[in-house]
Amino acid sequence: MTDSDELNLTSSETNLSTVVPITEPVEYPRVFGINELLEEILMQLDTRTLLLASRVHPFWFNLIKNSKKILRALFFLPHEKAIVGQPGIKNPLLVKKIWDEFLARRLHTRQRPKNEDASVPIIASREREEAYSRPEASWRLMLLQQPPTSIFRIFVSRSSRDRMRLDYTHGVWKFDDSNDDADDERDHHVRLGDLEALLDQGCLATGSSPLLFWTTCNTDKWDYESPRESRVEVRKYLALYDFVVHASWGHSRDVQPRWNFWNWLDRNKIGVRCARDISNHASIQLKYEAQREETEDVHRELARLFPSCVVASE
Amino acid sequence: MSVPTLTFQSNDGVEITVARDVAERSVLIKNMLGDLGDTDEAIPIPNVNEAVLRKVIEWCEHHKGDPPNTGDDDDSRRKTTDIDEWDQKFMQVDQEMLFEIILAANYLDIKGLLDVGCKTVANMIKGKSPEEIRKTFNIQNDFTPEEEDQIRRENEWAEDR
Repeated sequence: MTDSDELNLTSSETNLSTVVPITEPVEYPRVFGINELLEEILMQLDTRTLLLASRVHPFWFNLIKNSKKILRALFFLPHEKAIVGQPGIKNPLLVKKIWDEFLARRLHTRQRPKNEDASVPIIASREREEAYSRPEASWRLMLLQQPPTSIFRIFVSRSSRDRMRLDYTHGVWKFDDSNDDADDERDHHVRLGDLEALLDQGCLATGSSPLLFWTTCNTDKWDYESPRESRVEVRKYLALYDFVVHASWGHSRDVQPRWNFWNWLDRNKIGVRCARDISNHASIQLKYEAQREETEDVHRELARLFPSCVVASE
Repeated sequence: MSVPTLTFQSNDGVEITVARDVAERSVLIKNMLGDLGDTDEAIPIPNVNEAVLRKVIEWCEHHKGDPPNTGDDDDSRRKTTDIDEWDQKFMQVDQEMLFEIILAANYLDIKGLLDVGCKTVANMIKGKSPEEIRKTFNIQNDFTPEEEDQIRRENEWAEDR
């Protein structure tokens, strides 16, 4: 008997001290007992209801944990082919919930060095923080978009004086293959837990829209959010790639070298483990690309660097 | 000239005569006729009672002119959650009947009807918490408190505040 059942008892029933609750044997609906049918039904749900539905019944739990179709719909498993140069579908839970509720927030229990400005709202409650922060929280294993490219675009606005110093335009997220205990089952994609680590390590600050990051802390970037030309370009890149790093301000403003995004890239490029051990040993391959406009050549080159991607045919 | 017909026999022994093109909305029947050729004998439908069978036939009659289903059943279909008006009305039945229709559509392999049935059930689930879903469908909570707590801890971030 569940708590909610007990609440339904009327007071007269509860007064009978001898009453033994009669639990009618309830028959589990047959439709929900046939994997194919339950899957068909669950696939029609929105992401959030689908995720939470695993708590309805052990049968639901097992199906949701094991159906590749459902795991893809929940952004836990990647669709087979990632396509470079074609917009993906962003994870709706990230865009509508996780970004705003947790990632783009200051926290009670730990600092996010580049998000500590007062203009960054603090998380709604300690309870929410705990629900998001506990190690087993499922959101960390989610992909940013479907299909994932795991390529991020490094963006510098045209007006920035620092442009000359930027060597890289695209980063390809990559697991360190040399790691011995690398599990074959794991794919090489960037997941939400990786973004959390970047924030917690002080490598990036969250920007004004989901999946837009800055290399500098909040106080330095305010007047760079607005130029219209930049916004259009950033939007385009946000659609094409998993995330965008806005690097309009220089590299040297970080007081703490360990918070420097560029150092972080270098460190990981040579296969050093992240300081905070999360789900991966990320290493970064970077592609120098001089021309500003995205062409099919660029996408083809990216696909070469990242073997699970193919180039959009058009 | 009369329309070619078939006769079905429900599992409670009732015979129902149907136009052949209507009956062939069922891939199972269509394949069976392809294998056996024409038959005058009543075809037993072992898993379906009269009331459900009549509902299923009603749906097939209304949809006999529909284009055949595209076999492509991947994610493209996920996006279209709307059910057309006639189907919505058709699906206004009690839960037991709704489930029986889905089971019959699955058994008889009538893709369109199965689809509408599943979407109708999905619409009853959408936006509900696990507790509300259990209540809606009278599902007993078969988790131990420890098991349930572990699952809740993984997904609590997504629950309502």
